[in-house]
Amino acid sequence: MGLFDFFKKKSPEPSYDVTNLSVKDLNKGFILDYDMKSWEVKEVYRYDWGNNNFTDEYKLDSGDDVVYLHVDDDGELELTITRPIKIRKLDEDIIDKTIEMEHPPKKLTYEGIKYYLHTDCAGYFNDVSAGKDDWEELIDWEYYDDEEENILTITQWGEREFDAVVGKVIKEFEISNIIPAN
Amino acid sequence: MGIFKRLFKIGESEANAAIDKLEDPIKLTEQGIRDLKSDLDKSLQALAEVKAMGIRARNEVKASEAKARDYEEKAVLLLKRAQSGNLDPAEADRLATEALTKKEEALKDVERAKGEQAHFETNVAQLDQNVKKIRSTISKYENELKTLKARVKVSSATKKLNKQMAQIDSSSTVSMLERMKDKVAEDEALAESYGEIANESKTLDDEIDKALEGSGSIKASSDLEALKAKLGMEKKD
Repeated sequence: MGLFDFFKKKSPEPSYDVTNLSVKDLNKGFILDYDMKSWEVKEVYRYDWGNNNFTDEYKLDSGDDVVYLHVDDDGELELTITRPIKIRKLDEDIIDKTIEMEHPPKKLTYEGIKYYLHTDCAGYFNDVSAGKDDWEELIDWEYYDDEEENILTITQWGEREFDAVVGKVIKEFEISNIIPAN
Repeated sequence: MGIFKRLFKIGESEANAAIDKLEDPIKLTEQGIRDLKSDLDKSLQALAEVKAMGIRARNEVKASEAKARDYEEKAVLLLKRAQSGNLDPAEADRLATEALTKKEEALKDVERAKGEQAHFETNVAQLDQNVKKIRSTISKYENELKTLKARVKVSSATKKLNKQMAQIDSSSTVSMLERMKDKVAEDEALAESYGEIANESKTLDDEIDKALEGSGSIKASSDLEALKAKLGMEKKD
């Protein structure tokens, strides 16, 4: 190192430890390995559930598949990988029933798996990667199967807009080779 | 060697000695590790870029395959329409040929994207090797830093201890403790002497008083008897 290297402009330190990257460091453009494939983080979303309780979600693209990784770090790290499904596949009248009862059924069956309502919560959603400060109101109903290995979530946006995702709970070690992007 | 050259050499050696003194091995190793981590970050970012290009190439393969299937289905539909009399056969043939040409183009895109994908995968493997090398160097230096810190702690403690041992002389703690011991002995001797002097300097009055010790209480009891007699409170036997 020369004496004058000291005066060279240094790039700012990254917010993560480059030798110890975890799912909590994920950001747009990051690459990770899951299920024997490399995935690129295409979009980053944030949910505000009130009382300073936030969760993050990442849209992952492998080139031939798209999934959503949800990260809930409430002391204990909870990770889920989900894919969107057509909500009417759960029940033809599920939207009308939900609007009428003000909540969806407590039990649901999808592709032979029985799901039980675990929790419902209202919050706000923000597309962080879009760089806008618009927070959209939503209500989530979370279902798990008997073993709490499979998850199904119904989300209500506004008055009559609903969507659903289905997936599974994963362990942190299933996500590996996290690579940062600039 | 000329005089100026010699003077310059002296100045150079003095400057180097001063810089050597400023060099802290731990701080410099820590800075070296930080620099290596920055290099690793840059390499990882390059790797992420190439991996992302690989993912996009896979995406392109999928999209072009779907496009090829789509054009083939369109060609089939055109021929079926001509067969059912809904379209002029010559026009159907022309359009179906166009669709099949497009399908071929899409299939070429598939091949090109697959080639790119394979190329990116080779690049990823090479970059991965570099990343592994930097990671292992960082890990090696982090371990060496731990050892270095321990060695510095041991040498500094040893230096301190040896310095203390070397400083034990008449002006240090031991001589001070010896002086304190002498002072206490001196005080004790002085106290003893005072005691002896006190014993030796008794007056004649002191000796008489000592011999008559207790006579005060006899006088007091006879005075009490006299008072009682005066008050007519004679003893009743």
